[in-house]
Amino acid sequence: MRKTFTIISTAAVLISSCSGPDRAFMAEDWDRVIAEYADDGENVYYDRIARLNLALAQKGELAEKAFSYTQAGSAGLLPEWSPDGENGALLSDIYFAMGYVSLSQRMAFETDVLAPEGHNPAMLARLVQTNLIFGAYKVAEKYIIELEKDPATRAWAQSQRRFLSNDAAIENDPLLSSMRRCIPEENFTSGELGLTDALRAIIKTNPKHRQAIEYLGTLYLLDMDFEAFRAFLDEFYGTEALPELPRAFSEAACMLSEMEHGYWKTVGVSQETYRNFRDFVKRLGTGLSMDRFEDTYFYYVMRANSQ
Amino acid sequence: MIHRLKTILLPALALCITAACSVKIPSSYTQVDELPHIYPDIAKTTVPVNIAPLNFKLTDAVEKAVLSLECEGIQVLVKGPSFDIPSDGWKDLTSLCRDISARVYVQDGKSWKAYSAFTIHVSPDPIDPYVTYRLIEPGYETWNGIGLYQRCLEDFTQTAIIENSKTGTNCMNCHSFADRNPEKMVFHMRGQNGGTYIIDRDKVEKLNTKTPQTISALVYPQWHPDGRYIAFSVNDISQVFHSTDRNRIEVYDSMSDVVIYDVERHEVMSSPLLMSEDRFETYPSFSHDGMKLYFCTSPARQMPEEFKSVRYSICSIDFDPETATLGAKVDTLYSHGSAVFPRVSPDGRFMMFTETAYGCFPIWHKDAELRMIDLSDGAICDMSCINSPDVDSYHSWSSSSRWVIFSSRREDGLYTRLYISHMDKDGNFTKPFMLPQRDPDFSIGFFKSFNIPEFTRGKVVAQEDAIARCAVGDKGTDIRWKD
Repeated sequence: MRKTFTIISTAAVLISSCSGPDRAFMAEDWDRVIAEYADDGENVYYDRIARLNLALAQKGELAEKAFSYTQAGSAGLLPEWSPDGENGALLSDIYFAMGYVSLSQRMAFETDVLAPEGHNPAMLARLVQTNLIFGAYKVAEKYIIELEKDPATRAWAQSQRRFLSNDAAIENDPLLSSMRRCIPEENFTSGELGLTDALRAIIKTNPKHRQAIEYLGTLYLLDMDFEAFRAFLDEFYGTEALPELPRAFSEAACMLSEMEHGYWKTVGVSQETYRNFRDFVKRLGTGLSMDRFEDTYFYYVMRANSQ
Repeated sequence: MIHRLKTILLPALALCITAACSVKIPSSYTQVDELPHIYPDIAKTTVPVNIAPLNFKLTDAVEKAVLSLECEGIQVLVKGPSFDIPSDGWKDLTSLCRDISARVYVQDGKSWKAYSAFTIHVSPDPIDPYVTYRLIEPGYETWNGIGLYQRCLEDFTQTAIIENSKTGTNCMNCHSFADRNPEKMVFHMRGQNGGTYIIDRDKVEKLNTKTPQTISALVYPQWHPDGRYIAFSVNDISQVFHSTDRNRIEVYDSMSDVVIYDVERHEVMSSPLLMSEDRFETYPSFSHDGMKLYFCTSPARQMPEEFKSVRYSICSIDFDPETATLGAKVDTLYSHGSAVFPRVSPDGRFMMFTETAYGCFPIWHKDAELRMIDLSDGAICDMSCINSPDVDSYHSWSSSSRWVIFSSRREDGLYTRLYISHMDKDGNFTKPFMLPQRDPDFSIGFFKSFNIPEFTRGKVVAQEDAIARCAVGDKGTDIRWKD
């Protein structure tokens, strides 16, 4: 598994005001976010699932372990933006993780505008980051100045000053340089490309950005869009972006083999994974326990189809 | 006589101002041959005689500083490094001087140094005492507090004409005045309590302006100078967001026409020349004498696919206010890039507009610049003095035709600020200065944009509560289409 780096890093200064899962999330303690995640049975809380998935993505485990948890479709990966702006910060974090810098910036801006009193410091910090990434140094400094006014955010804000008008410093920073490399050379508008096409553009621009490929593939899987997933594998499997398939993608490839005999072999799926899938298929409709498949993608599909 | 009076009074006045401040120029200092680093940049600007003090600060870290403003024997001393110039001293300077010399002294360790002096030129041309603008975050889809405000340019007083906290946190936009008359104003509210609002002194009228014959409710307005008519565009407006383009947001029309609203008859009319199926028409604006209607027009394009191909030209059509009839032909005045917001100076000599590479919403276009045509000979004027590398856009003429106030994003690339520049009779501009604020740091810590600056000759007297009551309690009057 490839190493991923801590990607948010803006909110650590704010954790003192949070508790429980919020505290772990703000602290970017992804292990703890995952450990503290609690499936709430019948109730579906998209934002909560999305936080779990973001934590998995940050650890480079989204496509490996997403289906170890009860998923709720693509809305659990990227919830719909609520007009009151409550989940705007989460969406900004998710887009940032994806490498979709402009949308992350947009959600940060929208969320800060809707802050009931003054500013949302975490989103101001995101605006600092995204503007630094885009090279919009003057407005980045405006946000830095605002964050410097608060003792809780001052140190972090001051630490960002070294990037102002300093492309070399940004290039030497693992986070900012990686995110800058995610910006597609060719501009597109939100009206021209939907999210999946935008993610494809990001992957092509920066194939090393693991979160983008994991989010894109998982998005197809959660929507059970097998045609798009097959095209996704055709495009990216074996490339720098996807040299080998993580677990969920392998399991989905097994399912594709039901329509195209032997397909799983062409995309490097292990014998063990395929055998597991065949066992699952044999048990379907027999009344035998399926419990041991609960953490598989094919179980997710079965469950979704039965609802 | 005036000279004699000054001779007698000024030494006493200078003493008074200095003593009152208990600020002194250091007894010894080293003169350095450089200008101080200041914000906002007011050096070598030209200001109107009736403008509020141009407060500024030193941007270098300095413990102690003194500003000396001098002219004609008057001296005003101000303690720094953030200089809050006393208004009475400033008024003495601007009313009696043409060139104010500003010199900054700073403590440099144990000793003091004096920077080279810079000049602030005072123009005897007065500026309209008020400017109205909308304050809104330069955002994407959401807003929080929006309001229309009027700012007294002679001091720092800003008052709300209407804030959306009183009308359901709705959107409000597009205000316009009849010939800078504060008693005749129009603006829109959108969403909850939506409607077009006409203010006639202290009366407020709410209008429902969508008709079956028009593609939308009324949008971008400009009053006829006599106050009877208002030209509007009607637009199908959308916006998309850029992924990498430094312009961030694209706002475009998929359809648009121009209509004229009769304030007295509650009727809207137009001409096939302003409502062409295969053209976009927008941003109407009457000539100074009300006999022509200028507007911007482009061949219609498939939107949003072709948004970068849309180029607006500035055209005109005759208008007879006596009979409310439009002419039978359209003349093209300017056709280069995409030209929008045509505004004729009140004396009729010049037309200023905004030019960008494409499209109709230049506040999101970094390349947007102000342009001007001398209508007496069609010459294009040199505007390099007031344009910047960033967005320079919406503009408004003062009643005297000697001042313009315009929107610019030159400060940080995003938050629109207002700048004022003087123009002489030949169309030459001076270095613009930012709308003065009491606190020099105001703009840095302010997170809203100033939209649509419009001068007025006085204060809007309509009460905010009356406007809010009308918005919330009045169903509004439907306007009619006149064939």
